[in-house]
Amino acid sequence: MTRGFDTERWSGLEGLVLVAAAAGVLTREPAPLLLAGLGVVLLGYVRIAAVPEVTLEIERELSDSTPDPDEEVEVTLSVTNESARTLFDLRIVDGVPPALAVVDGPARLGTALRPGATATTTYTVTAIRGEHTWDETVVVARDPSGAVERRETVLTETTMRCEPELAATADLPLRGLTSKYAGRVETDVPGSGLEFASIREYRHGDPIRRIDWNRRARTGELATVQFREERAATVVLVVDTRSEAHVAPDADAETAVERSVDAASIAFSALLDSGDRVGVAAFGPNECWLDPSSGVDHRARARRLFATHPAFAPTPPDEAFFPSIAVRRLRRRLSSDAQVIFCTPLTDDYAVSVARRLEAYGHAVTVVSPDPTATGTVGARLARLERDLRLRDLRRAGIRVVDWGAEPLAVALARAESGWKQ
Amino acid sequence: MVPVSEITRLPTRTGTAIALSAAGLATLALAFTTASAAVAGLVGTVFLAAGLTRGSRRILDTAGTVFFLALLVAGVTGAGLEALLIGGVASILAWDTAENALSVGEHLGRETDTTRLEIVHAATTLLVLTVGVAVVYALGSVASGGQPVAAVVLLLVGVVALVAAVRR
Repeated sequence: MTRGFDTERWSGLEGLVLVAAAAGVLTREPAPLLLAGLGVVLLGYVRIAAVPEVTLEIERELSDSTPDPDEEVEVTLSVTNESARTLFDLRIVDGVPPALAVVDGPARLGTALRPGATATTTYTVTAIRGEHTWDETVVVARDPSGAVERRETVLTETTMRCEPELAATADLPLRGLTSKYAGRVETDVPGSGLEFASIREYRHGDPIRRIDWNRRARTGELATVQFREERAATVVLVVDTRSEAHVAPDADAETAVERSVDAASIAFSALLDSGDRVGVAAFGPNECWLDPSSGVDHRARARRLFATHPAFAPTPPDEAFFPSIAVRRLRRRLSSDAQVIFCTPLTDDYAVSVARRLEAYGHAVTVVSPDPTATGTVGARLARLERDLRLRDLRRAGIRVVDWGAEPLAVALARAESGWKQ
Repeated sequence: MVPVSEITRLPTRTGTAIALSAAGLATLALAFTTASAAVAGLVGTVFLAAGLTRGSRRILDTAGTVFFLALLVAGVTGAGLEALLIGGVASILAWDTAENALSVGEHLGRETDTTRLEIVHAATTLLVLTVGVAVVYALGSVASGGQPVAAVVLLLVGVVALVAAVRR
């Protein structure tokens, strides 16, 4: 995009020249006429101004293009004048990705450049989870008098990818819905396992190890001990990424989506470690679906997904969203034995209805809800009350809820677990 | 979260310093003409400083107008030509650098190092004005031999019309 236009900063100069000349005529003094003459010279200087031709080469260098989260990355922007003319007035604003915060040094440059000369500026950004692409650099060039300027945008491809490690820092207890595979979730199904469940009459073919020999000695009857069978679960982590979920208690705090993704990645890792099959889905305008599976490859896939999928971007989505279609699609994809862990800040009633509908279709739902509310104003306190009511609604419907405030997730889980009925 | 560096969209410090020095010089030059012009120059400097602190283009333009009136007053009262021309150059330079500092501040903010840009801008303006003064002064001393003022004025009007008609 290129355009040149008048800055109109010298408009009105002609008038002043004529006023000075008139004053000279009326008073018959030479001094005002000389002033008018000076004005005419200036007018000529302004009038011969031509829109400067801009041919620039812009390079951007990152000190680390795959940093860890919260690491500071130094960005060096160098601008070279490739044209044959001097650029007297060059102003450059770099297109820092919207999700990155510049913490040190300006991402802007103002200078005069001789042909072939290079100017550089260095600034520091803090890396956060995601794939960040730099926008176009805006270049404004003016002629020496500043009467005309040209605006251009130059695109220099630079991408920074920041993928956090998946760390299982908290164990998420699952509900009773399981698959047919062996795992670590205790079910009410009697069979082999660790925890005692019941004793029943011996049937032909029961393993000898599980015969209750004490009873046999006491009464002479054969009986079989049954344990609670341990099975693996299929879990789908659903993250609320609607624009309603992009909320934070204050401007500097992490948004609820960020924390939801954190919770989901912790849960993913913990569940995968305990042998469950885990999938990932986003509930928002950007579609994202990772089939439940297990294994090392699956972990790597999920790590990349959490880090770079546009659905989990730290900035709110612009696209239109049709929630009922999204719920239907999600439900079709969920296998009948799949549990759902729904990470949502519960900022509106729709999130509640999604959780209740999934629960009603037989997917045992656990809601992990990062608390984005504040107490600063009356409105904020009202929002907090409304959210509390939504939590109560969910609990009444038999859905497990983890209300996650400012504490680490493990603490919130431990507190929530003590309140759940076994 | 880490504190984010904000952009202060106010006139840059370099430009402010140059503009205020030029305005001071203009006031000093006007002090050698008449008392009323000197007072007007002082008022203009105050307006310029106010415009630069507030970041207001309107106040800067007011300052420029006040300077112009001061020069005009000094001119019609028949003050010394040299002091008047120095005052003229200095006040144009003051307004130009102040307005430039304002626009650079709006584009790039106060935190960016723009010293080079602004010094180059001030230097080119100063160069053009110096050449202009030399030309005008030379013409003035040649033409002061009693030509009718009307002819000079018609010449001026013609040049203005010509310059205004030049297309960029």
